[in-house]
Amino acid sequence: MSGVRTGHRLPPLTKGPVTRQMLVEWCAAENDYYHLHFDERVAEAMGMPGTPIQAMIENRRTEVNRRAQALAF
Amino acid sequence: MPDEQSRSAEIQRELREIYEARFGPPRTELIEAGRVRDYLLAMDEPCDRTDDDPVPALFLLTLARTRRPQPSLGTSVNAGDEYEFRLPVHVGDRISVARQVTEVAEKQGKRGPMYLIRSESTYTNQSGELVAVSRQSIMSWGR
Repeated sequence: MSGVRTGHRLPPLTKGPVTRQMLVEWCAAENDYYHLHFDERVAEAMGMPGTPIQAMIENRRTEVNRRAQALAF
Repeated sequence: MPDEQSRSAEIQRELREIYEARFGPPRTELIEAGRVRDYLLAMDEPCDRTDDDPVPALFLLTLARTRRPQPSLGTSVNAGDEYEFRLPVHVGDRISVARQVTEVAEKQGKRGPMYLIRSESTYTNQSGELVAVSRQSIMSWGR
């Protein structure tokens, strides 16, 4: 964090949007087609407001977790 | 109370059977370059790797997945994962995956009983070396 001082204004952190295509792509990449993650009707039947984002997609939005997921041992 | 205990034991037995059926017997899979590429693409990560590079550690979790039967009753969500990555894995390796249910337990939730299902997966390479271990927790309710 060189060059950062008290009062330094950081650029805005932009997240999303996470699209349904991203959820389905992740199902394919992870080889996990649990219907809760792409079928709105299944999610609503389970009492959820919508299909929850897979934890791996949610986590990758932080740099530390991106490295953990994408980098090798 | 005996009826409730009996019902709880029945649900726990049913959950164990569902997840054991999903896990199935141990399986061996070849690490394929195309699947590693798709994994990186799905994360918007660069794919400029070579086959000599170790694959992403969490790529191992994509192996030996079972699509059916889906846990169709009630609601099931991930409740936490633990990983141990011990050795690098490369394209062309053959990884054997063994999964087992280690615990099914009832927990009290705000909306009634919930069930915690814990499992452990071991990943072994073609030389018989343990390359990784993962432990998953799933919470299920609404039964």
